[in-house]
Amino acid sequence: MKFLLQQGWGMLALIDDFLREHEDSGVILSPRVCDRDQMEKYVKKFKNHGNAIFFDPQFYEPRTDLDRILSFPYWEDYDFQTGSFDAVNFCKRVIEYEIEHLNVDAVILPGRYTNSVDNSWLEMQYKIAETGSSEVTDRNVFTTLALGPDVILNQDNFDTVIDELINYPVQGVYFVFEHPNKEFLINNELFLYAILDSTLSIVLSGKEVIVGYANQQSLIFAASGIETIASGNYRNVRSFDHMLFSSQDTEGWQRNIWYFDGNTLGEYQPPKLSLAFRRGLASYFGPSTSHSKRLLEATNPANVPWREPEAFRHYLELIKNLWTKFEKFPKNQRAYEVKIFLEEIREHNNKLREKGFNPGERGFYSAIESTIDALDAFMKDRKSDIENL
Amino acid sequence: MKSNNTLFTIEKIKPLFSNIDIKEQIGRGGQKVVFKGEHKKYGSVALKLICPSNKSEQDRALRELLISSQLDASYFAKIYEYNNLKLEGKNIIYVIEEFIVGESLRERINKNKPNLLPKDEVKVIIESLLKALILTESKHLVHRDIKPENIMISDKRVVLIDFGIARHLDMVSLTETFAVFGPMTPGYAAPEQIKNEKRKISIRTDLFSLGILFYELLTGENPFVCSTVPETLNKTLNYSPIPLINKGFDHSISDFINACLEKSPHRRPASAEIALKLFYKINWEEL
Repeated sequence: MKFLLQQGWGMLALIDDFLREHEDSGVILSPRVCDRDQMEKYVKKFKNHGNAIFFDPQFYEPRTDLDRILSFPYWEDYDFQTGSFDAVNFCKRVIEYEIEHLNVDAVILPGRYTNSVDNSWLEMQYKIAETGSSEVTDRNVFTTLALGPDVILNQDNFDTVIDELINYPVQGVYFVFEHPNKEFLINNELFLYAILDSTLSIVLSGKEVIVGYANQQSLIFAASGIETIASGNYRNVRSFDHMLFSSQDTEGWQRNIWYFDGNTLGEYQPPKLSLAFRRGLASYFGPSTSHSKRLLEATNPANVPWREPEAFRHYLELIKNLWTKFEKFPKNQRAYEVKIFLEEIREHNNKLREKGFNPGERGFYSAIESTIDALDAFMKDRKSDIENL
Repeated sequence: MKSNNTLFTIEKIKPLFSNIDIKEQIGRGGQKVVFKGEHKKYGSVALKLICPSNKSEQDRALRELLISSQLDASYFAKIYEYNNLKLEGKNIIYVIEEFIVGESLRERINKNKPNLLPKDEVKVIIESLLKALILTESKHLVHRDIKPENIMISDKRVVLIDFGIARHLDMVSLTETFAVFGPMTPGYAAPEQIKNEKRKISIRTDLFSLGILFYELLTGENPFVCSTVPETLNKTLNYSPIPLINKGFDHSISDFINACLEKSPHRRPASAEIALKLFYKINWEEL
């Protein structure tokens, strides 16, 4: 199983360090947050560490006016407005850039975001996949599947997408999806069930799946045979928002520093931890990483200089560990292991609640039941398919 | 346009195939005519003559024949020769293939009525078809027309016949009648064939048809066939058959058929090999 970094704002130094420490990891580069020159310079460095390099061409919003995205060469002389858009030619240019300039390990094809499926979108997706398949012969090709919640929650639409996708002549799918109501943690059982159900089918069709913009809730996707997730520093690279690719990021930059807890899957600010620690609840939090050791060993975490870089490094290291720990189980057993893992998370959350700990706005407490419900239903309905993983 | 009735007469064809003693016409449909004959080298053969309507159809037919001819197993009729030739200025494709001595599964079912076929025979038929589909899948072929009429029961052999464009052309009249639909046989066609969703066609399309066939062999009734074609198509698209577990069958057999009959291809067994694995889990003692 593989954990990839999803490049977010100001992440280059972090990526460099992380990849140096974890040769088995890799990165998905983002033109939205990185200049072309800088990216091409860093790629050489990353390659030297022996890590896997991917590039997300970010074609999600073809009418984007984001200068940084548009500065990449495959957008030159390109006009989506006129109706004469040549998807094949655009795709060829993306491929050429990825291979010639970045020497990526696998090509991620351009894919347009949609929240309503129609035939023209389906045709464009297929045409791009076919182009990728015929143009790239020396490395794997991933179709980008970028969907909104309305598609995923509409069974007919979503089935159509997956029924076609399983026949694409590509080796993998780079799947990014926007959460219902843009909530960071998904509380909608049906949505989670649909993702598990669809990704299982994709994996069974022999394709590799990378879930991009993943967060702690994405750990459940180990259940459907997914081998790779990608996550990043800020929340906008831990959950997908197509709007970020059409205009400047208007997200309010809250510089609050959070601690991600692997035992509860919640995120807490140090003062909240301080109160819990003072009340004798310190043993409920963990596990620590080299980046969070000082925080978790302190009597009063709020007094520890816990800054963004440590918080990000801790989160990424821990999420990688949590993800890859499923690797030791055969693929067709992972759903059961995920279930056990989630039940432990529930128990930790419940115990903390019983002891008067308020998980707050970033706690996992509110999402745990819907996550387990979705997994239970999925395991029951696709039992024999899971056995075939 | 000259009809195939007058184009493909034995008198006109005989001079083109000096190695074959053409005996009789044994089949006709769409753009295809089939004769039985004795070949000097191959013995009993079926001679198929196909009249493609355009160049691209002809090229596709030849491509598919090339692949089909590589299906070298007892589950398929051996293709000895195929090529283009001109007959009265028209391009036609001829195929010389093994003549399967035996009866079609349809004939076998009808002969046995009102009884059902013995379960051991059903087991052999479905297992053989799944093994045949594993081979076709390995060649990226989809039969698209699995039904009792296209399965020959020969001495110790179950043979899946009518591969390739020959089968497509055979169904042209149906396609013309229901122009919005793809080539298919109502009652056995998968939803994606009915809706003519070409990008969804895969081996799973054949597994759907196989699921119907299996259901029919076990119960004596096709779960989708109605008195009219539109009703049959509607039922295939919108109705799930009564699960066999509700008809007293073991859950293992019900699960297998339910999986094959999923409306959405991505929820059907992902490959013929996976379907065969599932098939081997069936508890036949409980039947």
